[in-house]
Amino acid sequence: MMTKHVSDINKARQKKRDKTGWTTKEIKEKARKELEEFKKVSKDEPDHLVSGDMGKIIRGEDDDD
Amino acid sequence: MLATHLDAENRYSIIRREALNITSEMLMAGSHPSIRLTEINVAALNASKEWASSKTRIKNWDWIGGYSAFRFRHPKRFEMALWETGRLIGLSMGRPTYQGTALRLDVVEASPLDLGERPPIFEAVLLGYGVYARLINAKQIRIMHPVNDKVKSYYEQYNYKYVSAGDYLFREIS
Repeated sequence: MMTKHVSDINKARQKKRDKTGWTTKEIKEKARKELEEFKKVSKDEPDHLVSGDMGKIIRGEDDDD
Repeated sequence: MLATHLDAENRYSIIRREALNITSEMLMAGSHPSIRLTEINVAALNASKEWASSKTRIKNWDWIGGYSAFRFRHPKRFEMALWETGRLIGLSMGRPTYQGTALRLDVVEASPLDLGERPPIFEAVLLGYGVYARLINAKQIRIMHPVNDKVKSYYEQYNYKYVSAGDYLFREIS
């Protein structure tokens, strides 16, 4: 059946991606868009940007679910 | 080290470098041409020692011990060191969940500001994780253990949702 709508194409792309992953071209396109999106937020970055639990890593404790 | 572990280390090392190359290319073309990315190498670990002299640093982390343990256990890890004009401005490391469906950002630290001005780093960090997550076909990124509410709120501005049960924030890859 011939695809008629953009949404059909997007669904087909998503299905293909679930099976085979992203192409480099797609990854770069997404990165470009994300960079634009992130630019608006980054000005609010806290002075002390820190996350994580290094103690758990050093002790070898696992918190994966 | 088991042969399978070594094989995974070699295979994922190629993917890590590809992710850093793509991210660098995007940053150069975008708003951060001055930021350079590398893996967490000897130079980065040596430079991180200077952070111990900060009077404002909120976590007194040992990156040499932490990275060494993480690298040994997680050959599929993602890692990045961020540099500006030859100065280390940030470090981060994470890994896929055991199911492989999500990529965890386990640890990130920006250089303390009392040791010198630097640009914001987190957009470059997230960009790198986004690229690596797509290269390994993960469906979600998780930022583990935000250290305080200020940092957590900042991550939420990137459309990450907090899960108190696991103390992490997540965003689907689309």
